[in-house]
Amino acid sequence: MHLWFMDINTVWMVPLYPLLAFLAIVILRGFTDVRARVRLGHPPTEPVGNKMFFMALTVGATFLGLLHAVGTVSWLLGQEAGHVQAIERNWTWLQAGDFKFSLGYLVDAMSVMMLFVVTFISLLIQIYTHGYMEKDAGYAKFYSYLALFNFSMLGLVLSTNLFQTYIFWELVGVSSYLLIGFWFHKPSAAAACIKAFLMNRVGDFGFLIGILGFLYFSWGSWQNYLSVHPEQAVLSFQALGVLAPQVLGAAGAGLFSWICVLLFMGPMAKSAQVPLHTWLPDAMEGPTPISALIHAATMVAAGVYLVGRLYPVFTPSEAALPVVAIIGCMTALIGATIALTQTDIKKALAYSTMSQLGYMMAAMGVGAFAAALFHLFTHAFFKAMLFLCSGSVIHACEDEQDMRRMGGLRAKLPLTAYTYLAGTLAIAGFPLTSGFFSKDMILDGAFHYGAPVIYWVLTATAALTAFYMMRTYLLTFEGKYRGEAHVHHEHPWMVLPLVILAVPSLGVGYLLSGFFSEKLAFAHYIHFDFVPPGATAVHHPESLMALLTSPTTLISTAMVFAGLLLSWFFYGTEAGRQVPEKIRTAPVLSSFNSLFAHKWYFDEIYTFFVDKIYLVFAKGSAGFDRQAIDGLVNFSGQSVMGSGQALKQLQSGRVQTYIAVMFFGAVVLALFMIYCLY
Amino acid sequence: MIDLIIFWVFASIAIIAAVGVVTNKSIIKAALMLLAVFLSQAAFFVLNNADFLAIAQILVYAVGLTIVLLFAIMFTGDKTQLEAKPVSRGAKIMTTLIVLYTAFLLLSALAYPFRSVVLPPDSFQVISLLNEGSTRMLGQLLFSRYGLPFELASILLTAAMIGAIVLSKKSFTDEENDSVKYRLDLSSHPTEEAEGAYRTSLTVPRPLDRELEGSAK
Amino acid sequence: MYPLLNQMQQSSPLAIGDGVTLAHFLVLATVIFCIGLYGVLTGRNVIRVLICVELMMNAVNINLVAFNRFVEPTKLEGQIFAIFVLVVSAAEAAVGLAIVIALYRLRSSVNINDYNELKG
Repeated sequence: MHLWFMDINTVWMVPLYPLLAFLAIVILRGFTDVRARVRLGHPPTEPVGNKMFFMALTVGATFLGLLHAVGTVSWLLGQEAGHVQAIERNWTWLQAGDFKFSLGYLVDAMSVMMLFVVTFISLLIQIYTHGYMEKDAGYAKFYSYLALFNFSMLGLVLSTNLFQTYIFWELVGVSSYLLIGFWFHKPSAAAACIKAFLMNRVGDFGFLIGILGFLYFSWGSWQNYLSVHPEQAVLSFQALGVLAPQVLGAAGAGLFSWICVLLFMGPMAKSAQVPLHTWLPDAMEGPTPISALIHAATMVAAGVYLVGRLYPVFTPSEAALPVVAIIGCMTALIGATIALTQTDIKKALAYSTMSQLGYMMAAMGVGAFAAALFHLFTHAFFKAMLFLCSGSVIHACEDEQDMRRMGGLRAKLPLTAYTYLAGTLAIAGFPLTSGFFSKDMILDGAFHYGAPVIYWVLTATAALTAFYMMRTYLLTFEGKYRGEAHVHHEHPWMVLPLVILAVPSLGVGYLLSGFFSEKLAFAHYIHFDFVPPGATAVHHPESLMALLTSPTTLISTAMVFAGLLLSWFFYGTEAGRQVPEKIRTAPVLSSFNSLFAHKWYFDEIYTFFVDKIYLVFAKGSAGFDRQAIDGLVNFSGQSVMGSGQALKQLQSGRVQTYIAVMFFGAVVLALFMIYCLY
Repeated sequence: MIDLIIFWVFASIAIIAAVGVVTNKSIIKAALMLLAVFLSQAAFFVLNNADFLAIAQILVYAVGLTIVLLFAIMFTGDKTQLEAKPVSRGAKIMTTLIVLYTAFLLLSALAYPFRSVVLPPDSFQVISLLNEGSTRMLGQLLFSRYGLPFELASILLTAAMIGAIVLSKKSFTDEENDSVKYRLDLSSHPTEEAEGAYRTSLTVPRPLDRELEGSAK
Repeated sequence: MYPLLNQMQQSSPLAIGDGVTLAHFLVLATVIFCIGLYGVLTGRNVIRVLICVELMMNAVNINLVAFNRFVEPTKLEGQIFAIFVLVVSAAEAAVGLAIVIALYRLRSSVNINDYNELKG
């Protein structure tokens, strides 16, 4: 039987499903909306049937997308590994002279991976959402936003060129904004969504300038290139590798590096890299399913994905990838250290996300291209699962998010606890979980990079990750219950996605590591042959045993165990319970503690900058505008008014005065004509 | 010689009557003085062989215009006391200066080229060739060379006639359907506080407003 | 430029010659014109002002006709011009008096100083 979704040429339908679902909900919601019902005189209760209908629309759209994703995966597996022939198709959207602006879809190994991740995790989270948002008045609106986000994200993933990417890049930003501010009646949520939007504007501004700069220096080259490859679009990703050296030649090394850094600003903001990261923890004001979907698994990872797409541009530049590596490294370390001190379970997970994104960026920077995307892939599963677990906990504890008022929840929420533990082990890099393989690939790449400091920072971050993740688990699920709220049982709709996600969280790493089957090796499909200057080529171990006994693995595993055990000692045993308190008050360590607890003072620095410097400038310019510019405008008006006031005295309203003046003029004219002209 | 006598007689009548027009306190008497000026004017036209113009002057000015003037005076009443009010000193001085200046200008302009122009010796022959006066020739000119201005003048007269009728129509200020009064009433309220450049004369009370207020009481 | 004027200068420079000359009419017209102008500038009654305007127009007409006779007696352009002045002044008088009547209904005054709508 021929199924339409198995055909690779129907991929363009994928973003359209959620778009149609979004439009359908927006239109139909008017008929079932609570307010609309009140307006029409019906009781303001939303029948379950309607709710299920909206969920079915969104979930159905995503499910169709997942089918397509499965189709593309099977297409990918049918290709010869290492020689995937990408498929690109474009439709002209607008044309101005020679310039043609195209929309289309690009199917290659990277987009197949992202397509699968996005549709799979979206589907599970949309199912989970029903349990989480069941009692919420904005249920249908929430699903419409989810569908909008899905549309934007899938369009982003399938983009063929940088312009299309930019469009969908902004669209996911808008969806993110809408969803963070979903409970906009909370002032903190309203502030958080604005913060996220503004922070992303900073990055997107640089991103757009970078795109235009690249286009400017490559304009002539595109004509030649597109005449050879007419099926591709201007700024097509497939052509970046061919044209980047020409742009480097045209712009010069220094300017080219600036273009690269500007391009990197987009991913920097979207993936919460230092120093544009401060929006991500605040984004946790959104409903937890959103935190799982957008701010952990998919959208924030889009930055890493885009860096992967831009890799052919970054590699010719000398400065671009080191910048990526340094920023990623700093983000990994800063995120992990802040996560140590967090008491809010979602904030802790948010900083963990930031740290892991830094990991991926650092991997990109050190040339471990496949490792970065592999970590993106595995991280999406276990981080989504962890957030969903936290959502389950928060839901059960009646919206309590503080871990100090939790504890011992394993008894009431057994499935949540076990899946959380699985996620913890996976993110910590416990051997043979999915996180282990991806993290090890990154560390392997960093080890072979020229600068050892990056390797050691990342290794230390691995230990910190193990420590703080175990801490959150222990504080939440072990020990005695410390809160007052009545703990509910797990919601069946919410447990199901957790259990499903636990499987890839634990197993997908081994499955795709290449040790399970050569055919399924992730790096065979997604790779980029590039060795940074000063680095040595990474030698992939042949067998699982060789991997487990390689020096980097031994070091990182030892670190992970150390982190896990220390955490268990501090938070799981009676003997170590007092140690954290002692650390907090110890002379040197306390200053570190306050540094971490204040999130490295980033918000304070920004506040200072905005309050004390920016606002002073702004007030100065406002004053200039009001005094000088407005003064000029007012002066011109007032001078006209004043001269009118003065001149109106001539306008006496007496006809005879006018006649006299007129006659006097006529006489002067006559005299002039008589004595001067003749 | 006879023409000199005629000229001086009528010139003295015209000047005395003109002074009377300006100075007589009664407006009706001023209008009648104007009639005298018009009639002596007709005599000057005859002196200048302009017989058609002389008749037209009597018909249009002396009869038509004077009657219209008298009607207008009848409508507005003889406000003799109006002229009793003294003219302001500045206006008087300025006016006198301008008039003197103009007189000086005109006389000096005249003195030079025109002072000795006399009737060309053959001009009476020309006129006698015409024999029946200038009327026929004027008519021929008006309907040939000056045809277009003539038609334009007729349009002007029609427009003036219609305009005069519209302007002086009674319903224009009809009490029941009084657009002017309505406009005044409306404008007096919102603009009362207007100041500076926005102040319009409509905000200043006028005789009619006062009258309306008085009649309301 | 003016051959006629040159010819005139050859004549006796002194006063008015035999009979009525052009200068008689011009001086007379000037006097009437100035009287009319004075009336226009000083009159308080708006009807008197209109009357004085008519006076000025008449002075102009005297000029036109006199010039016609003394300068170009075989042509009648001056009289044609005078006819048009007559027409225009008749129209002006008709409309002007209608306006005066309308204004009088509005203001119940013929004092020209009451008509100061244009006062700035």
